[in-house]
Amino acid sequence: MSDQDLDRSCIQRMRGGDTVALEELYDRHTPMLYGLVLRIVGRAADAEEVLQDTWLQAWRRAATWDPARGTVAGWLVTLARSRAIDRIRSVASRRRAETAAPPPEAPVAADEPPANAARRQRQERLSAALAALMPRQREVLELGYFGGLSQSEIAARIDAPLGSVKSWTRQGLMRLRELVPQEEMT
Amino acid sequence: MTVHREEHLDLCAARVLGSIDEADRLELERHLADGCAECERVLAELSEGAERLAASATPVMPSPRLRPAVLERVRAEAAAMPRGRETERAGDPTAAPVAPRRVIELPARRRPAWPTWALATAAAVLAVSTVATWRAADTLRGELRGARERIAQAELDLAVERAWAAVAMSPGARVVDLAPLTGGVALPHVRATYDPASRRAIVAFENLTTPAGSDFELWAILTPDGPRSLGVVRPDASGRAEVRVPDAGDPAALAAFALSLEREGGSPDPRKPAGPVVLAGSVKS
Repeated sequence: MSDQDLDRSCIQRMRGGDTVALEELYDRHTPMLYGLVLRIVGRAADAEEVLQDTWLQAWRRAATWDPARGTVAGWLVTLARSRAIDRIRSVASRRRAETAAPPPEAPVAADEPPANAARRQRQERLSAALAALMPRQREVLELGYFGGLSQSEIAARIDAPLGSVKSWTRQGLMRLRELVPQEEMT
Repeated sequence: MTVHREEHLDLCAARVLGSIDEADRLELERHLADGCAECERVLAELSEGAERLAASATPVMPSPRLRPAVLERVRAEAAAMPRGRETERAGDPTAAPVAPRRVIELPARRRPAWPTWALATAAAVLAVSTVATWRAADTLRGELRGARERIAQAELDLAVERAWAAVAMSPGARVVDLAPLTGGVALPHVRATYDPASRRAIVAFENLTTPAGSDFELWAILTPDGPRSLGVVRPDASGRAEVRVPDAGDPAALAAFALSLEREGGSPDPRKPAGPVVLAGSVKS
């Protein structure tokens, strides 16, 4: 049974009230989700709060997951990113963000989950693909996705025309897709 | 029907990235509502690009405390609002608890078969239609509640942004360029804009490079109270930072903004810099 099949089965069980199914999903996806949230909010304490909310929402909204609209992992990423962006936009945490450290680029090795060779290889491939983008393309993607900035905010931040920001966004996403074929993502 | 233009594909990319501006979002929604096969195809491709971007974040294990904390909250919620085991109830995660029922055997009574059958059928039809209606209404109520919460949050965000934008637009705004007081370190360019009416200030930093083991700390200098820390300032990847100060002090008391170079973490005393003050600028009325 593939990871995606296991995920779907967990969602079905969660719909029936099975909390063990949530534990299984937690163990499978938390390193990926926590890495993403930490990258966005920058502080471990905030990231852990966001992740708690994410899993609680996943429990409450298991019935709303629609297989026609993507994988369970994709749904969890959407839930987590949305909450992380809300966090950095909220008034209270905005004050913290004013003086907070930037997101860690390279987490402490000891905190990394044990990864099998395939996952590690995929991670290296993704990092290389991101590094292969034009610097402006990479910058707008990172500011938009991990920074939670709108395109007009990005244009102001990097002092570039809005039209260029829009083009770089599209070119960057398409280039990432080309650089890492779908078979390497599964 | 809106005509497909090349620019719509740029809007698709912004939507997939989650960085689309509101006006663009409305424009794209109008266009997609008309049905555009090209945009739908490109949206799917761009989503794959965004999937790779999300996956590029290095996986990290959170604190071991997090797992039991998450599970405790979920179990508490599950205990408060148990769900049925049957999949039929899957569409309604907030369904009311079902109390266990005792079964009491009653002696059978003889009745004509047909009225029982007819009544049971009618009851079943009524029950099914009632449950279906109730579920639909409940789903709609949930969606409405979610939409209201999102609107309230958006309005709050907008109000906050407007308030900050008003600082720069204020006719009485005082702009302060902080000038170096000492050499030896690469110093950032710092400009503070203070609105005496709202007492808010926005302080923008460029070329901010923090020496190893140190931090820059921003201060408001008030008379007669003296310095007040506005926090440690750390740059983004491009060496920029922006500090929004909700209350920089009374216009009559705020004399200057200053930047000190501190040990990592900032001065231990929020009322006094421990390291050298490297930049300062007077707030002139």
